Amino acid sequence: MDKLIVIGGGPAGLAAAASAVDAGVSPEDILLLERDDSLGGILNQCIHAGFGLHIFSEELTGPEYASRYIDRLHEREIPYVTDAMVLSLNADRELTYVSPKDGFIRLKASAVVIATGCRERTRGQIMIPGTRPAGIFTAGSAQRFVNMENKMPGKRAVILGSGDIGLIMARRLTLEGAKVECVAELMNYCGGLARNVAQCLNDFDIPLLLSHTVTDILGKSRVEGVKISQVDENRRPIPATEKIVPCDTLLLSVGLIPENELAREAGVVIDPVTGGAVVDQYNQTTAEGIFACGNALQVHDLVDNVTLEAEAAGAAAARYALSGTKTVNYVATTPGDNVRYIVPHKIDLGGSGDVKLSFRVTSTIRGCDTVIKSGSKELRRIRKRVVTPGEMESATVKISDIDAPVSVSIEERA
Amino acid sequence: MEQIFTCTVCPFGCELHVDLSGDEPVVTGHACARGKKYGVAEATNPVRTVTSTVLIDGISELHPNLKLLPVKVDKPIPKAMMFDGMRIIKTLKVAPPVKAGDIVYKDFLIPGVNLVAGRNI
Amino acid sequence: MSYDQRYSGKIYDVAVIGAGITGSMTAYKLAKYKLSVIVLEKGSDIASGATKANSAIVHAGFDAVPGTLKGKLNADGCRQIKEISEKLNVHYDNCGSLVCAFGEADERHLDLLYSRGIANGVEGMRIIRGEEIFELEPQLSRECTSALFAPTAGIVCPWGLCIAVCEAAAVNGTDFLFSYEAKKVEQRGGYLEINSDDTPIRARYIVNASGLGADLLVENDIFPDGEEEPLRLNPRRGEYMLLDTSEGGIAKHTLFVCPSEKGKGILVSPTVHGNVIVGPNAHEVEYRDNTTTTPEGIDEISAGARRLIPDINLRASITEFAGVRPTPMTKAKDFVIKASKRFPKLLHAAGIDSPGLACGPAVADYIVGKLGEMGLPLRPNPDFSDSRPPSPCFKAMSDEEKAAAIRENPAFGRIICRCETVTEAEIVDAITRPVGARDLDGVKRRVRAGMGRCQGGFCSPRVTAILSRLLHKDMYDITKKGEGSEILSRPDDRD
Repeated sequence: MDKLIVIGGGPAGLAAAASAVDAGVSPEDILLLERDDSLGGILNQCIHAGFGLHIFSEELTGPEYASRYIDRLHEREIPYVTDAMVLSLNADRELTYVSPKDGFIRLKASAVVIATGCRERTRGQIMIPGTRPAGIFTAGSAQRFVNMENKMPGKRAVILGSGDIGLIMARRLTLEGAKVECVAELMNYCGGLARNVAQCLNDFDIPLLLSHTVTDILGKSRVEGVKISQVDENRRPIPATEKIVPCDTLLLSVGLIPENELAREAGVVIDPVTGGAVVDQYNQTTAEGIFACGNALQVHDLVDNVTLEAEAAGAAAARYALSGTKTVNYVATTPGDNVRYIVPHKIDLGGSGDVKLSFRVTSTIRGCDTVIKSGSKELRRIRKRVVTPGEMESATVKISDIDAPVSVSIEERA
Repeated sequence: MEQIFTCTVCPFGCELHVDLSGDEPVVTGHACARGKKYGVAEATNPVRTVTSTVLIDGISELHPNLKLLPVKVDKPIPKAMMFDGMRIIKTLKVAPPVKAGDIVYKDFLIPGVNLVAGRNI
Repeated sequence: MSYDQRYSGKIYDVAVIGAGITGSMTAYKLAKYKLSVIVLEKGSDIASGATKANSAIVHAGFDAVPGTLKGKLNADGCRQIKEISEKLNVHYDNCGSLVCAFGEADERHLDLLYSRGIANGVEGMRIIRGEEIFELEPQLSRECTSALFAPTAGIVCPWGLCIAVCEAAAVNGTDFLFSYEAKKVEQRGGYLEINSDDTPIRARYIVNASGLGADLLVENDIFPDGEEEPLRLNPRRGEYMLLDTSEGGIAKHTLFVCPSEKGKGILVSPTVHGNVIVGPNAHEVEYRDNTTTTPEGIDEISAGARRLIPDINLRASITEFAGVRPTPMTKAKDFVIKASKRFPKLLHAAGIDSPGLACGPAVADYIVGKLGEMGLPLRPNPDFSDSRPPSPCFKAMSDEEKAAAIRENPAFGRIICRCETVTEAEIVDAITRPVGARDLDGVKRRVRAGMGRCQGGFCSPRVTAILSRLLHKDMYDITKKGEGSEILSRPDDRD
């Protein structure tokens, strides 16, 4: 049989591959392709603790969490290639990849799991004005320099954006002897987890400036400072509030974008809100036999959720590889009030059991209910103390209860 | 006197209010027993899990390009000792092979606390 | 290695100051003669000034007033760039251009441009109207009433072009010295001496192609025809946005509006790498190195782009940048290519603003001619090789070629830049070539690693490591674009 191919050897790809074996595909019919020189993906450079609380009930570091799933791959004797970059993928699941060891390889896959992760938004995308000196890093590339290359990006840093990697890097740079002047966040809420604000900023008296942004970059060869301004309710800078913060480094933690160049090439429909593929509850994309999971599907806050999503995708890909197409009867899921998006985008009513709906809210709301409806029928109402855009929400519904399109909304309690 | 902390035992991030003025600490704002315990600890003896990296001395057969071994303390250390810990870590080197969980530095700042390897090299 | 030993012991026939389009092309043309030539560049690489940040357009030649140097040289330069690009394997596309008229006043201007084009020797121009416009450019604003179509216009990779001709010059023996700012020129007996902080370079002839600094090399020394005062250059900044390749195809030709006093206006154009470029505005700035981008500027070019293509997706911008052009403060607004008043064997090439890129090869021919008139012996070099070492481009290879390349050299199988599919082998080649890359921007310009949608987020640590390995430098000493722009910052307590 053709191989079930998992693209990506980070947490999503590792879990998907192991899960595909557990669902009945023999290991020799699986191939995992990883572009870096070792398995583990971005977890290898995430040396901080805090991974795995949900799945393992303990605080693991990124490499430790990755090791557990790398072990599963080895236990199941699943073949993988490192330094392997997939160059092309089409809707017929034909792909090509290159690696120094294997050369140029063309394969036809029985099923494909896209687990390619995400990339960081850049200065250009958020259009920060100013000069173009050295010393501007995405938080993740600075993290790679510090944690993998043993090199410090700078001595005095400003961090724009309160995403988790930015917060983690604030602590890491401080512990390594640099001075972090502040973290500026355009929105009026923090983009990262509350625990990271506590342990990465508050512990070191690093100010978090909400409703602030960088409005100019100074310095010709290397960053010499940035201008920071407060923004109004429309996120426009208030000129009178502008101040210069001298620094040699600007770190950007301003959002992650799912990597979907291969999915696009294969003709997979992409949700413009998530940046990931449109999928059903089995994480199958609009291209038959091509599945997506992890940060390539939607940007997660917690790796535990990546693992669970990837295990579902791996199992579904295995079922597809073993038994092929089934007729489907889809209903759509639609975001209701205060909900930005829902994954999956559609539910096959021919399935059984529960469907897990993941979604993000549009703003912070205290004292509210998550309300899930099928047509006008209310399926579930879940009390929430607080929901925030920075933390992914989820809820499950029974497929047998669904007979019309499903909506999720957040209703404030009076 | 009441102290306010963000609870970090889970991603929910409850705002804990801890009052140490009485005989027993009084915690409010928590959603679970672990949060209550965390609140008392933060107010009385805050601890942190320090993680960092240690230079690899030599070439790892498993990962020939790897320069640094991730390490962590196997038990949290007092928050006030984080920078002392970093000073020690910066002086260390390890020679491969090392297994995840192996002790890199025994009795790290405190007897019974060890600095351990975070991956196999 | 100290460069003064290698270069300062010698008297060159010609020293070219500046490795922008004018200096690079001059070096290339001079390499065809039996001459010893050195190129002195202030920046850390070829094309690191005005040539780096412009519209990357090869203008057809209908803008300039007939009789001016711009008018005489543009059409020839445009034709030569096509030839040189084919010969030296430079990214070039003969995509053609449209000057779009919005109403009657603009249409009268098209007629003027057309007649200038005829006088300047531009071939194949046509004024098109109605549906034909939208067949050529489906996304163009329906407000457009007619357009001047110039099929000879094109787009090119500006630094790619300069790097290619410099490599060809280097192969033929031309020396290159970077991070060398020529600060002073003095007459010494039979030669001229250039100085930069006591590092003298000696040459019999000098070509001053120093772009924005051309009027400062020798004070009050350039007297344009018909002007009483010495030439002064005015730095004029233009801001740009570069859109992701996902937007490629929204413009099939270079789309101009009718030009104004301040310049050719805001254009929308494809680039040779499949992106879309939008810009520039034109604002005088105080400092010659003021390449900052501003929120107002981005708003201005956004509005200009929407006028041409109402549905353009500017959110797909992957980077914004600005370039400063050396605008000559003269009535003629023409290039000033004239011998020095003070040093008879110094030739100034100043005020080379738009269409300086398109004119480049023709400007260089003109410069070589002038040098001949000034007494430089121009004996053809029988050993001249009009070529450069092949530069492998993995992305452009067929599947079979890719397979073969990796078999030959496994480093072709290691992708370093994911966005642009650049392999380790190509990066190694970029660094080890003649006049090779010495910094991150140098690698980026030669092989596009870091040029894509992630803007180097993923590959810059890896490219830095490769530079460190091949240049035998610590990673802390690797720069973005020369000394002072170190990527990383060595902590005080480390070696």
